[in-house]
Amino acid sequence: MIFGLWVVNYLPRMFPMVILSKLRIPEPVIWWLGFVPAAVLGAIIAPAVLMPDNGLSISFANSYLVAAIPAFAVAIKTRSLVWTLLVGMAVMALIQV
Amino acid sequence: MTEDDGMSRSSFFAGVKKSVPIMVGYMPLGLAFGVIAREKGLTVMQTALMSLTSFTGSGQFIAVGLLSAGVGIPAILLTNFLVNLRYLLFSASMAPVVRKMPSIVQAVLAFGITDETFAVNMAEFDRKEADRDFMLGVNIFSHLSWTVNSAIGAAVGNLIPDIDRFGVNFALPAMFIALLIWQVKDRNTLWVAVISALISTVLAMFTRNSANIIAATVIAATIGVILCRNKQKSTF
Repeated sequence: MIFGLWVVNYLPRMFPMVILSKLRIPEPVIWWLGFVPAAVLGAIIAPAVLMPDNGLSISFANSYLVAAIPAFAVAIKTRSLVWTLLVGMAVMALIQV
Repeated sequence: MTEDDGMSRSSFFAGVKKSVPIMVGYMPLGLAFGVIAREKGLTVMQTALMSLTSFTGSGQFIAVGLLSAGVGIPAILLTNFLVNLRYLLFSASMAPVVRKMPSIVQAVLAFGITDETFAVNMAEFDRKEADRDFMLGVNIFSHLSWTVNSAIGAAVGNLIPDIDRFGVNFALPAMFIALLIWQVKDRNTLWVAVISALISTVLAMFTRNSANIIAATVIAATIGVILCRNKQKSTF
């Protein structure tokens, strides 16, 4: 698996830089690729936060949802990965006390 | 850039200096990954090797998470590929500034592309010729921080009982939230993320094993292109 991960993570980094610079990509394809990261992240975060135990849980009893609120606030305010991580983890730690 | 293949020490260390915030940022992330990887059954060596070869925070978190959930390796690799499709874009958009370098140098520099190194390197070389040694400085030291901290996390993680008490179980969602906020540059991207989140959540009620993520991404990105077409303006 580690070898497989190396392949799927390295080739997409390498080929475009080495080869793609010589080609022209149609604009809609570039747009589509540009939306992929935001779409993937939205698709990962929402179920992780809204249904941590596989059932939809929109309440204060859902610690992931409660921790996500300050995490989003800090991320929007600071745009800092480290601060978002620290605040999110701290809030989660406090909830679980 | 130097004319011969000789290394410019000052450029390299200028890059190392710019990599310090990244190194600091990778410390908690790397430690958290190491702890989780160990918790999910990887050895210290496997953890360090994965960090050295993959060098992808989100991808590695997903890999160990899915692995412990019993998801098959092909699905893990496909999810990793999709989650890290952004590397395609990073790589493509870096192509112009490294155009004059030999392919082998490009291939080495490409190995170090992450969200953070991309941001730092492109901030330095926006629309001008890139400095190989500066980029090497940024990439190598960021990579080193990630790998070393992963190994430390894996080595000491099992000494800390019930690591989730420290909120480590929220490290992954928190990191994704920050990465998502970075991605949301305009209204269309925001809509795509929201639509994708809704589709993914609805699908997750019926399916497991990340099919919801892949389906939601493809549908939402396509809707995004349609939104662009209608407004006749690019997001770049």
